Formats: sequence, C-alpha cells, structure tokens
Amino acid sequence: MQLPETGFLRESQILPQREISVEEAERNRALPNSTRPKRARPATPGLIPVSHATWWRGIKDGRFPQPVKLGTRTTVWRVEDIRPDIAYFQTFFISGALAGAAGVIIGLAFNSVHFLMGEPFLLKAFVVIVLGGLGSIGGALVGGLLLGLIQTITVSYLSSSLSDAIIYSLLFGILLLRPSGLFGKLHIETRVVRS
Amino acid sequence: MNDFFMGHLSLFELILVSSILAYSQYIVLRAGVFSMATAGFASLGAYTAALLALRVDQPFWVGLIAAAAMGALAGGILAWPLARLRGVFQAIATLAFVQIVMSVGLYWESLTGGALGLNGIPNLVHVGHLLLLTAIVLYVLFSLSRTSIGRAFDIIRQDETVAVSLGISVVSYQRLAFVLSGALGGLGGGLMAYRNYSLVPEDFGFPLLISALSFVVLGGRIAITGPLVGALILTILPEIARPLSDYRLAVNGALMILAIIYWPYGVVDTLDIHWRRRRATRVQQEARS
Repeated sequence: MQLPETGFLRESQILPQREISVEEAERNRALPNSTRPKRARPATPGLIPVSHATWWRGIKDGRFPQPVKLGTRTTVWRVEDIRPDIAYFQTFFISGALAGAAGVIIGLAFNSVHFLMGEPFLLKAFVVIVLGGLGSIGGALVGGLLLGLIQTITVSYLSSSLSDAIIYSLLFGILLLRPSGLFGKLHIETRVVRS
Repeated sequence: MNDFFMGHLSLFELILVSSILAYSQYIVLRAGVFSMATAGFASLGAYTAALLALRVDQPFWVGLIAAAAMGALAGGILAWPLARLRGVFQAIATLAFVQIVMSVGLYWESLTGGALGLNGIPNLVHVGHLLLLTAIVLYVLFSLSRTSIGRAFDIIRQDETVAVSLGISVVSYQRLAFVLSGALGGLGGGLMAYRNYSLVPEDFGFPLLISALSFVVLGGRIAITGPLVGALILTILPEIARPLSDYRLAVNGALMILAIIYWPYGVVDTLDIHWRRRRATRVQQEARS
C-alpha cells in the first residue's frame, strides 16, 4: 500500500483486521450502543503485524509511536511516525531473506552444509560493506569481488594463514583513511555521538 | 564449607580471571567507546607472559607486569587511530584488530608456535594471587570512578557534545580508557596463560570477545560490581546447567536474550535503579505525611 507523504492513519488501517461478514455487520447494527464494527469488510494484512493488545502495550512502553487524539472516539497516528516502524520490519525481513539465499548458494557451491558454516562469513560480511561503503548497493558488489580477489591472490602467492591478517589490516586501514568506504557517502552516523 | 570451596577451586579461579577480562571491557564501555579489543589485548598479554616464563624463565610477577604493560602499550597505540572513529565503526575496527592479532599468532610460528600454540607453561598463579589482583583492580577502578576521571567517563558516555562543551578532552579520556582496558586485558591474558598450561591463538578469538562483552552487558555497565556479577553468573551457569548437557549453550543464549529484553541495563544497574526509585518514593511519602 502506498502511504501518503503526510497524514493520519487509524488503528484499523495499521493493524491486521479480521473479516466482517455481511451477516455479522447486520447483527452488530442491531445491538444497542455497541462499538462493534457495523460494516462488512474483507480481512486485511495491515501495515504492522501485531495484535491490538501488543500494539497498545508497545505504545505504553514507547516501542510504538504515540497516538494523536482527534476526538473522544477518534485516535490516529501520524504517517511519519508509522513509516520507520514498517521500514524496521522490512529491513529485518530482507536481511534474513538475503542471508538465507546466500546460505543456499554457499551450500550449493561447496556441496556441504553444516551448523558452523556461517561462522567464517560473519566478519567477512562486515569487511565487504565497509570496503564498498555503507548504504551503497553497487559498493557491496564491488567490495565482495575485491575481497574474494584479495583472498585468492594472498592464498596462492603468499600463505593461507596470512590472508586473514591482510584482509583485516585492509579493513582497519580503510576505516581509518576512508570510513565511508569506496562508494559510500559520509553519513552523519560516522561522525556523530552514540546514544 | 571449606571442602566445597576446595572442590570448586578451579571454577572460582575462572570466575576471577573472567572478571578481570570483564573489567577490561567495562572500562571502555563506561567511557563511551564501543571497543571489542579485549580479546586482542588478552592474546598479546598471554603470549608475553607465557614466553617470558618459558624462554627467559622469569618469575610470574615479572610476566604479569610485562603482560599488563604490553596490553597498555597496544591500547595506547590503538587509541590513536581510533579517536577518529565512532560507534559501530570503532567496533568493527577493534574487531579487525582482534582478527589481526589472531592471524599473526597463527602465522608467526617461530615465536608463537602457530596453530599448535605454546604448551607446558608452568602453572604459576594460585587462587590467593588471583584474589589479591582482583581486589586491587576493583579498588583502582572504584577510586578512579569517584574522581573527576570517572565523572568525565560518564559524561562522555552519555553525550559527547555536552562533554566537549564542558571542556572535557574526549580524545585524551578515551585514550586513557583504552590504555586501562589494554592493561587489564593484558593482565587477564597473562593470568589465563599461567592457569591454562597451554595457549593457542584461537583461544583469543570471537568467542572470548563475545563472552567478555556479555559479562558486562548481563552484569551492568555503570555500577562497578556489574562485570563481577556478570562473570559470576555466566561462569557458574554452565556448571549448574550441566544436566542439560548439549543444550547448555542454548540456555546461555536464551538467558542473554531475556536479560537484554527485560533488564536492558544489566542485573546490578537494574537493581540499583529499582532501589533508588523505591528510596525516592519513600522520601516523598515521608515528606507528604
């Protein structure tokens, strides 16, 4: 769903909703003074997949954005407040999916799968993104190629135990001389205070 | 009581050594530096101490002083370039330092014995030495945190901009934190060398780094007793969870996740905050009545 630049969202637009059939809506309309939904609607997945109770508990804890009260029975949220939360869920989803895909490729390339297979790649992934520049997609590609080349060349011409030392010295040097990497822009986070 | 103590002597020693490594991690986190270099400092200290004992036949206190000095030197040198970096970038750079130290340990076979490591190191430290050293470390850190240095560390951690506006030299205080962390890490490494009989470079890799970090995160990074409590819990827990055998690591991980979610400030700091809040409400109630 395309969100507008600015505006308000109601809870029913943010959270997943169950289906209300025509019969149920009719029954609800017959009830006196009821807050139950009086109009039929299909089930919607919502923007943030949590329940009503979790949503309000999160608002109390400060994990989800604070609501704006437009009237006694109208509570809304700003689109600007909701958007970062959606981005969070999406980022973690995409990150996990990409790592899973990479795992499949590694398994296919080496013809073996075991529970420690991820360990050597844990830090290499860091090296690649710092080399290419944080936030740069092309940089990650070039960084990955560069890392592979350097590793192969050091193993074949120097020594296999020295290849790690060279790669991490390179990482150290790049962080000092050009913290933004080869293609990254200097983000504010590279300079500003940690919280 | 005495039987119980003697029976668990090695566990007790392990707790003390771990807590010294935890303090090495604690002092940098307290000064607002996201450093993970403790494992690298420990590696340098351990090899210094072990080589002094094996090749030059020095007594243990020379080895330990040399180990601490080696760590402090490495910390001082490392602090220089790292003053330019912040947050996650500092973490990655120190991670790179740990990896470099480990791969040099693997490569330089004539000095470090390569992947086979150093073996037959004499067991020189006893529980009395460890107790004394931990007490000295605790005392030094406790008195340090009560001086202007401790306050400067706290301000830098909370907000660097405020620290600068108050005339605190962030770079020199962070360098001090690095040197202290290096000295403690080297000392911890030297103690590991004199306790474990053998050393391999892989001892000082990612697992040690993670455990030093988790001692501080679980125990608390503000109160001075935090790292000690963290080391105590995380060293004893695998022993208590022994009946679970293969699931011990899973229990450790689950405990860490639960602690982070529900007690984000660590055991000691959360209790501290709780007590302070209770005292404040009591004072309020007394004032009202």
